[in-house]
This record gives sequence, structure tokens and C-alpha cells, in this order.
Amino acid sequence: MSKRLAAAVVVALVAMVLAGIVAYQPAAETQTNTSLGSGSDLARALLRAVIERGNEVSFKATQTIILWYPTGSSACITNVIHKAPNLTKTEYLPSATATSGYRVVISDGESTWHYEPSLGVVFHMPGTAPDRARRQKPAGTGPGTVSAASGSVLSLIERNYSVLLVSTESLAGRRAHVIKLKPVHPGNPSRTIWVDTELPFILRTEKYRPNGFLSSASFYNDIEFWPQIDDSTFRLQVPPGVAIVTLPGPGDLVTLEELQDKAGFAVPVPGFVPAGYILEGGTLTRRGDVEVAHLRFTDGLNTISFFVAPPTPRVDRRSGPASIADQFDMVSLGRQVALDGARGQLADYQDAKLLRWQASGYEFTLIGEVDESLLLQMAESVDAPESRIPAKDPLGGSVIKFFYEFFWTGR
Amino acid sequence: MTCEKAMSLMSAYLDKELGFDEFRQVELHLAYCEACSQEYESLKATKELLGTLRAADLPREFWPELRERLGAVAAEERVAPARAKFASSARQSSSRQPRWRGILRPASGGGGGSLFSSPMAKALVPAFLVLVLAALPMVWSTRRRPAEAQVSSRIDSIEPYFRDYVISEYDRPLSDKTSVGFVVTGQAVTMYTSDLLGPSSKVTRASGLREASPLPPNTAGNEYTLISYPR
Amino acid sequence: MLNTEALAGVRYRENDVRVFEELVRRYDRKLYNVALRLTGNPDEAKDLAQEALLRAYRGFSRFQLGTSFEKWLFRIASNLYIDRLRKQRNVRFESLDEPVPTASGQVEKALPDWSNNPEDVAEQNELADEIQAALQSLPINYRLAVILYDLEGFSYEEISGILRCSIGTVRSRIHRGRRLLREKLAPYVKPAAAAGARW
Repeated sequence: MSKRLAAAVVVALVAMVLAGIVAYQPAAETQTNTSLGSGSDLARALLRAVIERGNEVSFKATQTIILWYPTGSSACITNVIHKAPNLTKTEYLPSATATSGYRVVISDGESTWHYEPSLGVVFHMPGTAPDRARRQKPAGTGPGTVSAASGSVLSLIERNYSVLLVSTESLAGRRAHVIKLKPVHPGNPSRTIWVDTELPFILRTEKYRPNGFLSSASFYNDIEFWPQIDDSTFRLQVPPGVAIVTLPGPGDLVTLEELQDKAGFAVPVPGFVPAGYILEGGTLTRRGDVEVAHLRFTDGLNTISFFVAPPTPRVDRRSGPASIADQFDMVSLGRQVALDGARGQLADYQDAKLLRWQASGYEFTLIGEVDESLLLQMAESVDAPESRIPAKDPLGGSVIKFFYEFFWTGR
Repeated sequence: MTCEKAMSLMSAYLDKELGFDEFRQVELHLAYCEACSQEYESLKATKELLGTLRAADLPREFWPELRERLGAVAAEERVAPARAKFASSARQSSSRQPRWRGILRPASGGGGGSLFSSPMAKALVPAFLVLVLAALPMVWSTRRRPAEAQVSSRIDSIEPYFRDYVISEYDRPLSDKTSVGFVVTGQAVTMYTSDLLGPSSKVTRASGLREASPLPPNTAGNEYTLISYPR
Repeated sequence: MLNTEALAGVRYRENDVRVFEELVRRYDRKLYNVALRLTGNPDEAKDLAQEALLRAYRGFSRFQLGTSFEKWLFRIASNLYIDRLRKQRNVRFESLDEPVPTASGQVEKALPDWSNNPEDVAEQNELADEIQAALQSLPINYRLAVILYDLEGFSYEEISGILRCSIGTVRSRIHRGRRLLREKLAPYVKPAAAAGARW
């Protein structure tokens, strides 16, 4: 009896595998067909519409956000009111699974005001508004306009992601086209968006880590388009005694050359940048009494941030790897990694990977959602000059310059 | 490696859940020990047999029933203040606050309040304060250096870096702005409660009920036309 | 502004349940399957999984952010089952091929459909019953470890987090559990290749 049974199990297993292969192949073919046929044209048109005109849709909605980190998760329900083109009010509601209390955020397209009642504080954040990026700056003010130029962003996304129209689904009382953005280059996150069939509006977004795990989902539970919204909705009124804290803004992006001039120190750059990423520009930000250079790379969907803190006379910044580990006390899962001649610390911070190391007195930080091997490769390609005398333009510099100019002139 | 040792590690070997050295040793042992090889094969077959069990689907009534039960619990918990439940769930953010915030915060019920309500303690507190004031000059010189070191390590804290990184997400046209806002504002709270904002952030205090944000120019009258997609 | 805060309070209950549901949706099937293998009874399994999720909801404030939510959830379920076992000392073992009494009369228990061949299905059901019965006969600690590893694919490290014991303990529980299963399932355990032939 047992022999027969074992044989039956084997036969069943083989049959299942064969059935799986047979079932899988036509499915894969149809998908490719969809992406090559008119489906992909529609998907592209939808993307373009959302990028160019998404903020023109006024709405009032309840939206759920769920974020899964490697170390935990966080979720929140929000009330969002948007009045085209640039007034937005978001209330983050408290819940047992949220990590915060009630919070209201109002933005006018240039600045954000964030009131945190539990702290009795209003944070004013200039230059951090959701619709800021869509504003065209006058040409020639620097690469900050790269992200403003929707056409170039779209072509960047199309170069780095295969855009597939997968299906049509109903959600929040609307019909939506489901569009998958699959990275052309391995090691990148992927994304699925649900775009309304009648309006240039994203109803649901799911982000996936490079390993395919879902990392975040945000979706509207119910939504009303074109409601009557009075401008007074966007007035933030606070009780007496509330502190208003102004946070430093991100600053305008400048070219690498301008950044080198402004920084007053040679900014070493990575010679290797993951395929598909271009240098968007750089800024200087202040950390205490030190100015830190921040270079931003993007593939259209994601960001890799590269920070360079110059050598300073302060002793404790150079006290070796142990002190780096100490600085990571806020980060869970931090671990030491070997980098070409140096030791670095690699950690998960919320959804991103964070890599920090020191060389020739410089302190470097890389942050991104790409696979950690790409960050490590980037880190190993950074040539820190031995002295403070600006080094000859290393190969890395020319590579970046090439990418930068290629993109900039191609606009 | 003895047979006894190898046998005890056999399941972990099968599951590739051994350290490199132990794995190599068991592997070597299996190469020449017939009895242990048989043990290995039979455990492998047992494991494979378990693998033939197929996962069951969730019963259709699972969520409708559970939703009802959850609703009942939520309703009963609403009687108790919602904030209390939330406050304890936000352990992460509260643990990032400087210690004194927790100490100075009035205890809202629970064990914390009882110490200060006892008359004995009330008498002891002033005495303790006098003692601390008297001892302050003595500890001052030793406290100073660690404090400085702390400031410089704060300059290197990762929070501001992560903030700069996340803010750039606002410039990605396809990013979900509500989610970005959730992370960015959360980061502001973390930095504020961890005293990481530094001197570059300005603090003013609202003197009365006032508008914190000047209303931007009127943007009413935006006409919207449906865009046409290719077929 | 303060009005909207009050409004937020009104929505609190509804939000909470909805957010919680979204949060645990990805674990529900796995949780139910662990419960099913532990209890061997679909009704009991459903109740155990639901009760575990209710406890997770109630005790969410005790969940430490920055730790694994999945481990925490399965720890709740494991502890809940162990508690139940303790309370009902005499555990009733129900055979899977016994019909299940329901409101609308007796229903045959649904077992996995393996293939279109009725003969295969019957034999597969028989085997599944045997495996389930064998699992049921294991001491609870071995049963938990084997189910979590062999059926649900947790790693030794994750299991040590769920069961709050050392990795060494997980290792020995799985090993002993499998050896006991091997004895119970002896007629079905036939090594595929002759020993030594692997080299």
C-alpha cells in the first residue's frame, strides 16, 4: 500500500509541476503582449497625465498608509483635502497601530506647517511642500529644474522601468488601471500604482523592496472629487503658547562644480553609480558648525543620497570604527561591513539602507532603498583625497559629469 | 565527530541551520558512516513527507466574524480614553525623548503618581533638592566633558541625514505625498524630542490664538478638463 | 482645528479596526494554518486564530515597535494554545475523517484537493490524516517547533524568537519531533536513495 501511495504522490507532484509550467507560459506571453501592445501606450499616457496634471485634481478623501520596515510596521489613517493646484491639508489620525498622535499638516505648495498637539509645537518647513517639484523654475537656475521638468522625469522612468498595464480594478468606488513599474536594472525597488480611469489620479500605491517584499501600501478608502472647499480650511489655528519651530529647508540643488566651489573642500564622488541613476544635483546642509555636501542621485522613482562631511580638527570624529558604531545607537540591526580598506556600518533605518564610513578624515553617508550590495559598491568606488588639497579630478568625477551633462543637455 | 554528536545535529544539518564548521564536520562524517547516512535519509524523508501537507485556505467566515469581535472590543475600549492606549503604543518615540521629559511629565494615573502624593515624599523632595544644589559644584567639572562629547556625536547623528534623504521624495512626481509627509513629519518629531534640531532651527512662540500660516494667494477658479487617453 | 481633533476621536474606533485588519492581513492564512496543524480541527483552529488576533489587537500597546510583529503574533497564538491545553487537560483528539456537525447537518471535512484523479485524492487524504494524527501525538513543544519550521517555513532564529527559547533548544525540539514523527509514520518513510549512494 505504501509503495503505491508513494508512487501516486510522485505522479501527483510531477503532474502539478507540469501543469504549473504549462499554465505559466501562456500567462507570461499575454503579459508581454500587453506591454508591447496598446496597453503600454495607455500606461505611458496615464503616467504622463499623473505626473503633469495630478495636482490639478481637487479632492477630499480618507487615505490609509501602511509601512512595513524590516524591524516593525507603522500604519495610519488620514483625512486629506487638496484644492488645486497647491493647497493641501492632511490630518493624521491617531490609532492603536499608528506611532503618532493626532497631527495636522498644511502646505501651500512652497512651505509646510505641521502642528503636533501632543508636543504643543508647530514645525514650519520651508521648501518641503508636496507640489513644489512641479513648479517650473526659470531655465538655467540649476539642476533643481531637472525634477520640475516632467518630460525628462518621465523619460527617465521609462528608461529604467518597464511600465506594464496589468488589469483594471474597482476601488474606493472608482475604476482604476493597475500599472506595474518593474525595474530594468536588478537591485531596485518596484512599484504598482492604481490610476483612476477618468482622472489623472493615483488611487493606490504599493512599493516593493528589491527582494520583492511589500514595503508600503497607501490607498484611498473613500474619495470625493471636486468638492466645495473654502480657503479657510487651510488656515492653521493654534492655541496660545504653542512654539513655532522653523526647520532648515533642503536648499536649492546646484551643479557639482558649483557645489565644489561653495563647499570650500574637495567633495569626493563615487566612481560607480548603480545603472539607471543620474546625478540630480547637490546642496550644502549645516550640521552644527560643519557644512555637509549632499549629492542626490535618482532613477526617476527612487533616490540615493550621498553625504560628505569634510575633515575637521575635532578629535572624536576620527576615533575609529568604534565611535561610528556608537553613533548608530538609534539604528536597529546595524552591522559592520568591510569596505575596501575601511570599515563601515550598515543599518536599516525605516525603509532605507544606511551606510556610513570614514576615510582620510572625511565622513561619508549613503542612504537609499536599493539593494545593499549596490550601496557597498558605490562606497568602495569613492576615492577620498589624502590631503585637503583638492585632488585631480578622479575618474569618478568625470563619470558623474558625463552622466550629468548627458542628462542635462538632453533635456 | 562521534556518531552520537552527528546524529544530534542531523536535523539542523538537513535544514542547513548549522554553523560552517559543524556543517563541514557532519558532512565529512556522513561520507563514511553508513548508520548516520541512513539516519539522515530517513529524517529527510520525514521532512519531505511533512512538506506534502498543503496549506488550507482561510474559512470564508473568518474575517466577517473577526471584524464583529474586533468591533466589540474597540467599542468597549472607546469608553477608556483612546489616547491612553495610543500613548503607550508610541513607545519608540517616547523612548527617544530626553529622559527629563519623562521625569518631569506629570504622571497621568498609574503607579508613577503615588510617590509624590505621599506626605513623606513631599517633605523629602525639598531636602533632596537642597542636597543636589550643594553637590552641584563638585560634580560640575566631571559632568562637563561627557556633555561636550555628546554634543559632537549628535552632530553626526543620522536623523538629519535621513530627513534630507526623505525630503527629496517630495520631488519625485510619482511618490505618495501623504506617506512622504507621514515620514517627514515623524522625523521632525523624533529630532525635536531627541534635541537634535540644533541652533539652525528658529523657535518663536505664538502669543495668542493666531494663524501660523499666511494664506497663499487665492487659487480659486481652476477649470478642469478631462484629458483624453489613446485607445 | 480642535473640532477636527474631536472628529478624529469619533472615527477612532472604525479606524483602529480597519488599520489593524490591514496590518494583519498578510499573516492571517499562515496563522490559521498553524492553528489548524496544532489543533487538527478547523473550527478550533478558526477560533484559536481569531482569539490570537483579538489578543494582539487588545495588547497592541505592549507590542514593542522595532521588533518583529510576525514573531509577536505567533508567540501570542502559541501561548494561547498552550494555555488552552493546560486548562482542558484531557485533550480530545478528533479524527479528521469524522464528519463535522454544523447547523445545517453534517458536512464532510474539506481536505486538500491534490489532483483530478479520485484515487490520488483518496490516498492523499489518507496520508494527510496520518500526518496530522502523528503531529497531534507529539508533545506540544515539539509539535510547535516542527509546525513552525517544516510547515510554515520560519527559520530557527525566528522560532527561537516566537517560542522564547535558545536556538539550541529549537534545534533539539525539531530534531526530537522529527524522530518521533519518523516512528509514527514509518510505513510512509522510505528513503528515496540507498544510504551512501549520495556520494
